[in-house]
Amino acid sequence: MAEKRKFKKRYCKYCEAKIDYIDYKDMNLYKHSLSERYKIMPRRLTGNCKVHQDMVTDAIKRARHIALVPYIVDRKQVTQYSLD
Amino acid sequence: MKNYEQIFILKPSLSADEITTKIASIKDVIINNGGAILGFKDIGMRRLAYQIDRQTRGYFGVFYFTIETNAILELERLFRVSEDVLKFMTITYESKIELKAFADMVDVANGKKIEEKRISGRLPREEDYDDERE
Repeated sequence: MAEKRKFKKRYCKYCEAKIDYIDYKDMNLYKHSLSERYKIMPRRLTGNCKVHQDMVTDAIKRARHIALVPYIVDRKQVTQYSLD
Repeated sequence: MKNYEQIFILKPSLSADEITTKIASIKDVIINNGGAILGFKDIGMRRLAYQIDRQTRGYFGVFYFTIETNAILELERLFRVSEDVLKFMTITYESKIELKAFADMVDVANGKKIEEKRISGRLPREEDYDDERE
């Protein structure tokens, strides 16, 4: 007997919202592709499609360079920093 | 001529007047090197994600412009020399999709378009993730 699926099927949120470019300055666009420690979430967990995942990766890496998103969050910063 | 976006962070210790003169001087450099400014977006003072030169805050500004490729070298050299600039980044927009996004961003910077609200920012939670492992 097939077990009932416990979770919703994942889908690409960007495809649904019909986004064709992800700007690194717009944090709301890639917020949900970041983990609590500001790592880039893998595709298997977020459900992003390949095209959009590539855009997200580019945007986040640019945002890190210009200090909009931290490169690392360690024990010292984990409480003090929050995305605004 | 290529489309460029130039973002820079100025030191937070500068006064409002100094910031405006600094921005004007950057503008002059772009124009003097044969560029044309399409727009300027003022992000303003905000907190940095990590310390740069022991600063925790910085003043952000973005220029949208077109310029010859060689002139970017000169522009970046001046940014490196300047002590008021904490960090900067130059981005080119070339492909079709990028150019469309660039035009949109310029319109937003000039106040012609209002930034539309897109994805709702719901952060992913733990329970969304642990499936299909077993």
